[in-house]
Formats: sequence, C-alpha cells, structure tokens
Amino acid sequence: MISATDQALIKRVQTLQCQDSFSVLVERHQSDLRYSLRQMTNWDEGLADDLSQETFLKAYQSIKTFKGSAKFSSWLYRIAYNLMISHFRVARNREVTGVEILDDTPSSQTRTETSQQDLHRDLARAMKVLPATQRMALHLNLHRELTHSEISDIMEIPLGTVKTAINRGKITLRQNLAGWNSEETR
Amino acid sequence: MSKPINLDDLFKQARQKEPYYGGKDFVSRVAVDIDRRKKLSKTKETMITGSAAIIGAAMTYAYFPLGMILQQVPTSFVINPMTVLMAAGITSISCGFAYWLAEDKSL
Repeated sequence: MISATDQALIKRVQTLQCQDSFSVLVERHQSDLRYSLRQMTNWDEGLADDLSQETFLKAYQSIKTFKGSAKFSSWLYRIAYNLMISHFRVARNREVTGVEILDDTPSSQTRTETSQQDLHRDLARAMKVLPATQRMALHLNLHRELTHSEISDIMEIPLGTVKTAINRGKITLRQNLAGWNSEETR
Repeated sequence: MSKPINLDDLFKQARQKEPYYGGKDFVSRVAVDIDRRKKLSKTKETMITGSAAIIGAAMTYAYFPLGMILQQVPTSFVINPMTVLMAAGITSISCGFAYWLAEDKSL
C-alpha cells in the first residue's frame, strides 16, 4: 500500500472508507504541509500542526468530493489556506491579513536550533508582515514552485490577482530582508 | 549600499534545506482524531434519533384519539333468530366449499 499512487489510495478511501490508505496519504504529505503552515504562521509550530491536523481531518471528511482534477497536495493546500483564513478571522483580526495576531516572537521556543532552521524562521518572520493572500501566493510560487494557474486554483482567486499578489509580496519581502545576510545561515 | 536580495536563490536555499518532519506521531494523532469525530457523530445520531422518538411518543400520547376509538367499541350484542340462521348458513356454505376444495382432484 505504501507504494500505491495517491489516486489509488484516494479511490480506496472513497469507496471503502479505508483509514489505513488515508494514513499513508497523511504520512506522505504531512511534512510539506506542516512546513508550509509554519511559514504561513510566523513559525508557530503549535498553530501550524493544529491547522495541519484539521486540514487532514477535513480532507478525510470531504474526500468524496475530491474529483482528481487537481493534485491531492493542491487540494490539501486549498483546505489549509481556507482554514488559516478562518483561523485569523476567528482570532478577530480586523484585516484578513493575519498580521496583527502574529506575534513578533514566534511561539515560545528558544532559538537553540541550528542556523539551517534560522533561515526558515527568518523567512517566516519576514513574510509575517504580508497579507495572507500574498504570503500564501509567494510561498506556493517561490518555495513549492507552483504555477500561477495552480495557485489561482488553490486559492480560488483570479490569475491576475495571483500575479499582483506575488509581485507586491516580492517587493515587500525584499524590503524586509534588506540587510539580511544569507551567508550567515550557511 | 547592500546588495539587493535574490529571492529566488533564497527560496531555493530554503527548499533544499527544508526539514522533514517525522510523521508517525502526527499520523496517529490524525487517526485518533478521525475516530473521535466518527464516534462523536454516532453519539450525535443516537441522540437525534432518541430525541425524535421521545417527541413522537409525547405527541402521540397527547393527540392520539384513544378515548374516541374506545367509545366506538360496542359494549353489548343483540342476537336474534335471523342472525343465528345467517351465521349457520354462512358456516355451512364455508364448510361445504372447503370440503369440495379438499375432495376435488383436479386442484
């Protein structure tokens, strides 16, 4: 079952409600999703993992609606993005940006990690000032290397909006990272 | 003046150094959560069915015209000779028909 394709596993979950097959899917996609959500939440590991868990739960509950026209990972990102937006709204954020609820010091962790992890944290910290749309679009485009069209499908926004979000996001991110030395992380 | 940052390079670096999160604990947490929600929905279903049954029973008890039906049940019978003759006739015909059916070899 481990070597089965996503499509085959999804079919088994849809027809037989096979939870083992779904667990294989979770195992396969959890790391990417958890990392992406860490980037989206200013490296708040607790929040990122909670959102990831909720994403997989929602995916299991609504797997019958998955038609297979998009990649399973894209479908997961769509669910995760919607959950993240809802979370920020529930947190009574005035804007949809999610900026206000993101604390400057991510979670309660100490910075004892290696410099490799600092690169990821610094990126997450630099991205936190971006509105959620720009943050997600930028991450999917630059980190996950998805096309504008795929991002448009995931975020359910027009292609033009995706392009604008990415361009604006890049400008802001460059400003935020000005003076940041990437050599330090190596 | 500092050199403008190359975002493509930076993200490429992040991509290459992206940590892998072990999934065993996470997968079991998701599985437990799915089971918990399933149980929750079964409990919910039972509660809804139970509540509907109680409401239905209460409404039936309140509105069912039991008294009116009981009132319509006759409390006495009057048997006259004609009734006895009619009952005897119907019984004889039924018995005769049953005997004929039993004896008729063509059936």
